[in-house]
Amino acid sequence: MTSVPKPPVVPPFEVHEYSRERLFKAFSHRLCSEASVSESKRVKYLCRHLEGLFVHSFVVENAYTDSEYLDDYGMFYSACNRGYDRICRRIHFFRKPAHAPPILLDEDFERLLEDASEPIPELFSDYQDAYLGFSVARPLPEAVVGRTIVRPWDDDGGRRNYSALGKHSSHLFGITFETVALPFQEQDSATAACATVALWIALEQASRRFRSTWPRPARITEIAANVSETGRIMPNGGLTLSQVVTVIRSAGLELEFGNLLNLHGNLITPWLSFLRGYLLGGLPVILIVRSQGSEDLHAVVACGFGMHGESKHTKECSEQQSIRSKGLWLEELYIHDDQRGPYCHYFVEHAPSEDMVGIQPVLREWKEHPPEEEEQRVLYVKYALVPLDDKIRVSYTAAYGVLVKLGRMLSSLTAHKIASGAAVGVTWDCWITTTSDVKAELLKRQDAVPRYKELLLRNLPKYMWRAVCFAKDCAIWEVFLDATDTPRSPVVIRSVWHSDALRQKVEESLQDEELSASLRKVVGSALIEWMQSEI
Amino acid sequence: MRQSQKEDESALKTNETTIDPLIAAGIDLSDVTPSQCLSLLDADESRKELDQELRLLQQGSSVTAEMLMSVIR
Repeated sequence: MTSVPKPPVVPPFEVHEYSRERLFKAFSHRLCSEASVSESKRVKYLCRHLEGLFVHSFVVENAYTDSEYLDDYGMFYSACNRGYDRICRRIHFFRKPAHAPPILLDEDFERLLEDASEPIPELFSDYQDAYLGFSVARPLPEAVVGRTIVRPWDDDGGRRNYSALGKHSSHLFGITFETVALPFQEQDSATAACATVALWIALEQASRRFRSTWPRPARITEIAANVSETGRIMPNGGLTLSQVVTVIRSAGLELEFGNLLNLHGNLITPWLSFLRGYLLGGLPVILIVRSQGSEDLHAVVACGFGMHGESKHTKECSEQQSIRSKGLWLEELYIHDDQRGPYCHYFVEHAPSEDMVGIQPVLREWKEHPPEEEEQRVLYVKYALVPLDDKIRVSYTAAYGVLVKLGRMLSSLTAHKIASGAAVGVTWDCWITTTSDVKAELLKRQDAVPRYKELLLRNLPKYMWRAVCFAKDCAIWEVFLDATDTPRSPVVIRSVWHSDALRQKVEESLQDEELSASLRKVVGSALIEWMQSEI
Repeated sequence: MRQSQKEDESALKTNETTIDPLIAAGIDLSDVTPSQCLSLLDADESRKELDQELRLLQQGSSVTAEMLMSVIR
């Protein structure tokens, strides 16, 4: 009688010093060999990202039930003839702790677990600082990168801004680690395509801000099926824009849609300011792009930006713009691209439009030539989408339109000395914010700016656009716009003059009846009356 | 929705000094008079330019049926 061979005993965890080869092995399984994993662009990008975070070691949780994958499994993989596994692995990444002993061997982690029963605060805070996040290794062919919560690179002395991230807790055998990140995963092309993943990423952050629902990828695909379209739902070959809108609305949200190009392919929306306006407010922006060499549309999610302390671009629209915005300072965008990886660094550029008359927005992965083993990825941006609370009724473009009018007023009332094209040009910055965030800041600074105290005690709308006008890098005027109002109203609420010289000059100019009357013809009476009440 | 600390500081830089930020930036408005502003303001032309800029912005918010049917994969 022959005995049935027992399956090998899998330990609950394994600890490894980091190397690409060891990580490829950790992602591999019976349906995806180490060699296949090593060819995965997503895994290679993840390696590059982790190396930029100085990853030193990783702990593999050998049996992990991932709720996102479990939905995919239940809705698709469980019905396949091939026996797909239900259980994943989860890989936790660490850099070298500053003072505590590094976790390089199984014994090191065992010791950490023993110490965790009576934790020494300094020791655990050191390990918390060293924790970089985790990635779920899915038991699927090719699409092995499941839910991934890893930190972005550091802020490089404030040059990089990652406002659109949230705090995530992960529990490793009872030890809780926290990571500030935006979730990422690659599409499996069965239950989710790129648009599904982009929605999943953006809706996670929206659910934190607006308490909306956060559907899992398989559920997003299911909701999209409610819109009658051609093509299969699973395996999923992609979503239409109409299905994307349906999913956002089903999560209890509305959206701002930015159509960046006109019929001639010329850039008509101040797209960099648009991105900055939402990203600074903590909201990721879904970008619909076309990658070079492909006719298909692809969805990615912008979650941060990098800038230097000066204007990088001369314009962000094909047409002449009457105000300059800090969006022009954006040099890089950090993008979750499920065909690439998390926080992909893309350089912001403008190329001639198709008719060669204007410009079109371009994102380029490498500034010049890519390294030998890498390929240059170039994305042409067509649309931008932001899921929003339905109480945000005034879009960025509508708020920008108000700033254009205010900019024109300031320019006219100061004989064009306060204007974008003046010798010392002024720059505007505008971002979405909430009353609670604004008031928390006003409370801290009420002594420095007396007008802040008055605002602090006022009943303000839940959502506001906060716009600041800078001369060089100093604020001269600040305006709060009501984002909950009807777009037909002037939407301006209150302003704060940081420059008395400007306020006095505006007051003097507005007292001139002939000048006020002429200006009314340009910007309308409502804004002039508001301005008069503000001086 | 938190704005970065760096930005917050930048926004309020002016209040920590006694020099008016406009003067610190090298902009002198002392010689500007309302009549000078009026002579430089061509209301009709200005209105036309403003309308054109706002029309383009509005165009950027519009969605066509063709866009809605485009597949994102």
